[in-house]
Amino acid sequence: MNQFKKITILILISIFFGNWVQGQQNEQAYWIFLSDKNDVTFDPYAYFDQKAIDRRMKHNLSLSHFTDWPLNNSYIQIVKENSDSILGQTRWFNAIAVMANPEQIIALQKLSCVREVRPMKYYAVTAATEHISSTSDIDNDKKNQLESMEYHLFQEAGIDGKGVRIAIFDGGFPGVNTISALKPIIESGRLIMTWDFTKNKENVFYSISHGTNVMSCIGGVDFDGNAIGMATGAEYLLAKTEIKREPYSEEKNWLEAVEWADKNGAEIINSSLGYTSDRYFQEDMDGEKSLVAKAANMAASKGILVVNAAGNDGDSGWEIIGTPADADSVLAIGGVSPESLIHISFSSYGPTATGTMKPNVCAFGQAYVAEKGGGYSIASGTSFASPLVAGFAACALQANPNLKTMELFHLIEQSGHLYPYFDYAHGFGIPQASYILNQTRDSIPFSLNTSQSSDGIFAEILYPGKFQIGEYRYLYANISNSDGLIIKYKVIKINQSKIEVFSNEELEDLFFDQDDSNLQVSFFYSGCHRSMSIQEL
Amino acid sequence: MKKYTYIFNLLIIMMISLGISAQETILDENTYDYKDPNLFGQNRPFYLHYYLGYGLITPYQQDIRNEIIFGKSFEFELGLRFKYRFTNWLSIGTSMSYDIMNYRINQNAENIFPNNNYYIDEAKEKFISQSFSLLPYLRINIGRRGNKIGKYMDIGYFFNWSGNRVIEKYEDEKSELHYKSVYINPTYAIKNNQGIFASIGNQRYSIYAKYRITNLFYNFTDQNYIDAYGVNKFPELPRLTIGIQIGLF
Repeated sequence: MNQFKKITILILISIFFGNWVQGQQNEQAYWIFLSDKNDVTFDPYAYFDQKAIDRRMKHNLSLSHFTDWPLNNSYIQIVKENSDSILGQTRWFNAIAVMANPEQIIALQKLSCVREVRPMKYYAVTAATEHISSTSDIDNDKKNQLESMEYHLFQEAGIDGKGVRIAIFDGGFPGVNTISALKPIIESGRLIMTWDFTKNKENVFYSISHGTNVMSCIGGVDFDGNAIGMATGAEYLLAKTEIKREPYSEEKNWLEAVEWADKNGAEIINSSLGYTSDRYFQEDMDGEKSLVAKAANMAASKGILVVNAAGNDGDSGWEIIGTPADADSVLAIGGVSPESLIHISFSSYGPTATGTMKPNVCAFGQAYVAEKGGGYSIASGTSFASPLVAGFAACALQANPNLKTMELFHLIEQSGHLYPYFDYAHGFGIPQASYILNQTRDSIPFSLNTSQSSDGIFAEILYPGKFQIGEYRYLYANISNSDGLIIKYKVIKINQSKIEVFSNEELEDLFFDQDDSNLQVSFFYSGCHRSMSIQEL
Repeated sequence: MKKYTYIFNLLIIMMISLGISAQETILDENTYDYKDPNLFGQNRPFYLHYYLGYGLITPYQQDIRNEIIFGKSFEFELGLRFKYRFTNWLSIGTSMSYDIMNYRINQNAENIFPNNNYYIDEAKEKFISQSFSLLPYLRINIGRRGNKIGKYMDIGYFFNWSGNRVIEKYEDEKSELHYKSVYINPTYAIKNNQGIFASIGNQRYSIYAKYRITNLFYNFTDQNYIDAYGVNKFPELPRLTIGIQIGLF
């Protein structure tokens, strides 16, 4: 046999086996949860930015909460001595991230200062997936991505997110400090702080441009100086938490970043990432299992609105939202098609594994974004729906500065164009500035009648005037069970006044599957919402 | 005016007749049942997927009288793999596959398989075995994961039911002598064989090794063969195959 071939094969096998074995090395990353924070001192005025103090006061929160206290230094020292290296720490969860081997872990578990040891999870980032493309409808998309949320009303009221501090967690921000789209922010000194949690350094203006795209959707402008994100007047904190576009990332970075954002006065966090099947099952998406979901909820409890992409798994095997979008206090953002304003195929569906409605609201899943080189393009992904809503939220907060976080959360939900109707593809729909400013809705120039006959469930729109040829509208309908969980939902494009919404065959299947005689059907048509009970067949 | 109304109505009728629907369902979703987790999935109790495999038959332990040409002797397989998960780290399963083993015989001076009739430079000889293969295996998964195949190690045992062919081909450009013969299911070739299997993999990719335990050839029953080759049976072809498999999921 040819010696060269033998050697080549051996090398190939060695490489594969080596890589395979590498993953099985004894040394792993763990979270070491400590038992207490005894004997630590904490000065909130030295630790927090003034904005963080103001936010706590607005929310009637203690300035010296246990979760904000530093870790006990002697415990850190003990853990350090019993592990290979320290990766980081979290005050909120009183935990230290370490690299350690099994023997060290056994030793650590025996320490009195250690409450729990948990393997750290490495995940794939999914919501950050985007597909940059060009389209002939760029101008249309650019205009409509904000106008679909009635941006002109904020504009007329002089609202641009001024005074609101937004933190963005992403994979990199190249060009943010140079491109014209974000120049107004840089020149006016509203880029408050940056930190790269992957390398522990200040510079974040490198690596993938996803964060640059995202930031432009929150507060960027186009070549003519027109907004492409609503919060052109906001302040920004940029945290690089991901290593590359669809990388294996560490929740450690996210946890550290959220504490950093809190400390530095963020009122809104935009996070266009999600963790799914690499470490979780769908039933784990309950808003409790992942540490990032807990951290997101804790951020909300500290007065920060966390806006997170629902995820891009709608047309994949995973299908549902990732975490931390599953956290109940996180505003999870779905994506809609710019053409139809109906769910865009890749946007992940809700609900959570506990049946909580997600996504909460939605925005364009295809957006006009600034590129690192100074140009613009169209990018797809709920990654971009999320910052569009984050910008909207900043404007909503500026318009209602006294709102507490969850009040703002619910106000944004209520401003959805479908509200009070919802489904698991659109949530309450696209937020509307008119509701934020006036908290009223336009009167509806027609009525919606619903009925059930021997053929199925029908809706009839009593419209003053007739449908025009080519005029299509959308009727939303869902069926919920006695637990309030939506079990089936539809959007129907219509061009006539009376339509069949659910056939008898569909209803029979639902009654059979659900074993529930109290099914309820809800309809939504152009601002008009109706509900009725379904008679068992 | 009436004329325009008439045309307008006609247009409407035409458009309807062209199939323009007055209602079209553009989204129709059933909520996933989060209380009843799916039984099927990469790391669910049941999983089934197709796979492709390609391996090289190695010259390990080969007999000089029946050597293969390494690199040109290969295995190809197309299979269906079933997995039943006991725990996050332990599964069992079965693979069913269509296998082709192609042994390309080296024409050295000592070669006696499938015969010693030809000029060694011009002859091409192959032993091809096409099999239906059944391979029960035990899988040990390593590492925490969600609904993913993850990293694993398999050990298994395979059973092959084969149809065998021997192809002899002789081509001499100078003498323009061409000869090809195909022997289907030669009597000296065993149709069923068995062996052990092991692989290590990560997600869809794995490296595998198969070692055939049973023999490929019977003892000669024809005294002429014994006389011609000076042996009771053909020397065994190499038993070890190493290759890669790619899960199609």
